[in-house]
Amino acid sequence: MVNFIQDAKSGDGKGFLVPKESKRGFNLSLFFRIFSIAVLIIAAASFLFLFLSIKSLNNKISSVKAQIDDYETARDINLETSILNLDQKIKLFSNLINNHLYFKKFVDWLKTEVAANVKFSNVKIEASGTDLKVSIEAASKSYADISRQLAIFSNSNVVKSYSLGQMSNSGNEIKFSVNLNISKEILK
Amino acid sequence: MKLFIISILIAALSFFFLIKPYWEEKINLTNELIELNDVLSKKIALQNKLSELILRYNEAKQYEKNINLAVPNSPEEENLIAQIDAIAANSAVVLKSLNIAKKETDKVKSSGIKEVNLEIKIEGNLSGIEKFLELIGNSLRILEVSSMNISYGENGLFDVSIISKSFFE
Repeated sequence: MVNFIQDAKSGDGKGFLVPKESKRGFNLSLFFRIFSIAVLIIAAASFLFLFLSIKSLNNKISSVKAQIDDYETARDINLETSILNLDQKIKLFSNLINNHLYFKKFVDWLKTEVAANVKFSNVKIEASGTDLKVSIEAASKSYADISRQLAIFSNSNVVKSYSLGQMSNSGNEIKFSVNLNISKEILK
Repeated sequence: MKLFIISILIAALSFFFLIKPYWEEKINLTNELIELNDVLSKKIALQNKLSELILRYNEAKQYEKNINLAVPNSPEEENLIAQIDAIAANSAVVLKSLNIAKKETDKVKSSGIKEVNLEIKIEGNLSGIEKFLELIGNSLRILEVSSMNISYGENGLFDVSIISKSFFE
């Protein structure tokens, strides 16, 4: 690229070498040529990249679809139906058992709540909402016995509320009635 | 210059007829793959849950017979009568009357369960009544007492009226 010339002015014939100035102009033709090739290469590379990507994606999709199909074919619909049916039955059964009331427990409880000289002649129990409504018809020898009976109900932690009904003295005994509201929990 | 114009033309045509459709297809396929992977991961999660359920099902299956006895598929009134009669006999109480009425209540309709209403009247001593109530409470066929009336009779025995219900699917 660099040409050297001999300086004639030095006279001794030895001279010295200096670089010859070269002309550097912008070669538009070369630029267009390179640019054109670059554009074509980029276009081809993009196309190739996309082509390979799509091929790879299609392979992956086929593979995932095959796996999904495998899971579908492995399913046992009859077994799944049986499981769902049994599950529903268990839930239903659990619900019934959780709300099941043992009335024997009421009798056990009531036996411990009777005051001396008091006889229960009629006991009506009705389960409603969260409480048990109990109506008791009883007889006692004295009003003091009735008072003691009410004190027992009053001190019971099971009885939520109670109310004394009419009392009637027949001479031999005093008949009375009591209404109780007790927690249903004692029957569980 | 001629080459440049041809190149630009080829590049533009490539873009509109090859690269752009391929790019769009790539995006669509990528989205499809994401959706399928999502479906697959859900399937895998479901399969794992199902495997767990199958294990539990096999354990619970041994109780299915008892559950069917507790809540049968039909009213099975004949079995109900026999069962209550047997309970009364085992408790040494007299079964004075037994009325059965089928009823599909609104309250439990949603769960698909139906009720058989029972009105039981028995007579016996206190221990017999207690035994009867105990057996009713522990009966394999669920008998749910909703109300009870105990009265002490002249003969020294207790008369008991029980309103109860049993269930079927």
